[in-house]
Amino acid sequence: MENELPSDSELMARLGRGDLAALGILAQRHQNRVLSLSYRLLGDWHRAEDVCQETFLRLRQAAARYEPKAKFTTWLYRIVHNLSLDQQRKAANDPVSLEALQADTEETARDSSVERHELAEAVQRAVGELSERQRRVIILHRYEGLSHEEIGEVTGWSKSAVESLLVRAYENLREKLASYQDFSP
Amino acid sequence: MEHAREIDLIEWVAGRLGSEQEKVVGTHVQDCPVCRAKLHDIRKTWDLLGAWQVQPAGHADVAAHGASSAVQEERRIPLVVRFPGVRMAARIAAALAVSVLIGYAGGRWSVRPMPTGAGMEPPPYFSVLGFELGDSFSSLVLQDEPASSQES
Ligand SMILES: [Zn+2]
Repeated sequence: MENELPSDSELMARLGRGDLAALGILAQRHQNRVLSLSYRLLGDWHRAEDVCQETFLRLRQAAARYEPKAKFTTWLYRIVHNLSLDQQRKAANDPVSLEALQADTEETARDSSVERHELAEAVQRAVGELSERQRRVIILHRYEGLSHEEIGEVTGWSKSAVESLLVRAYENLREKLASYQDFSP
Repeated sequence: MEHAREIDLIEWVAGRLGSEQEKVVGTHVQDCPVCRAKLHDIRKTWDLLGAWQVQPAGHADVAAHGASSAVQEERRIPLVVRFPGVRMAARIAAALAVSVLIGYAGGRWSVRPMPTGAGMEPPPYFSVLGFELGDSFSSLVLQDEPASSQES
């Protein structure tokens, strides 16, 4: 079909040939998922925005060498994942700004009922209290919808490691959220 | 009777178990109260986790207001590749423009001479990202546009 949207791989090939319009389409198509993943990993929109910007710059740099072996989004997630980890390491010595915290709180509070807001905070806290590896697999599995193989590709861990991390993570989350079991989200 | 693997129950709840496996697990769960209880717990946890929603839209607003003013703002920013606090599309475009300029400065030999005078068009990705450019910014960006004639 003539009007069919170009695939991500086609866009990467065009970008590799210097067609920057292709990058615009990729950015529009994927920036929400890039931001969501990065925000969930980092808990800070400003840092997530930095990661998002850097991700698309990396895309441009890598486009000429890009080979569509894995699914494009898996490859994209790997970039976001790694950049977010870099940010996280930097952030360890750099506390979240008060401004960022306030902005996030207001944003959530504006369109949520109190209970829902409380639950959302409890969930975010529970996920944040998991071990680093469990936290990452839960975010990629529950919120980004990645398969075990894809999570393995993104993180560099084996499929069996991913699966046992997932089982433990869901168990831990059930315990942490036990007091909300009667709550229907 | 062998119980269903917990990871399969998780995938069942996630709706990502293959149809073959779904049948096997489903048949077992129907007859096994232990696995049914586990499945119930996992589903509950799964649903609760759904309460943590994030809203990237405000942070990735490509077409909304302020795009051209964001670019105006960036014109005054020195050559750094980070633009905190500016809308995402503008940030990506501006960071790209800067990386293009740096690439140009470092690799003049491979870039053809700039066209001068009127008829300078912003590169296509700017309109795709939803904004227009002022003249003074376009000269920065146009470094990446292939010109028509010979090598320098
Ligand atoms: Zn059983």
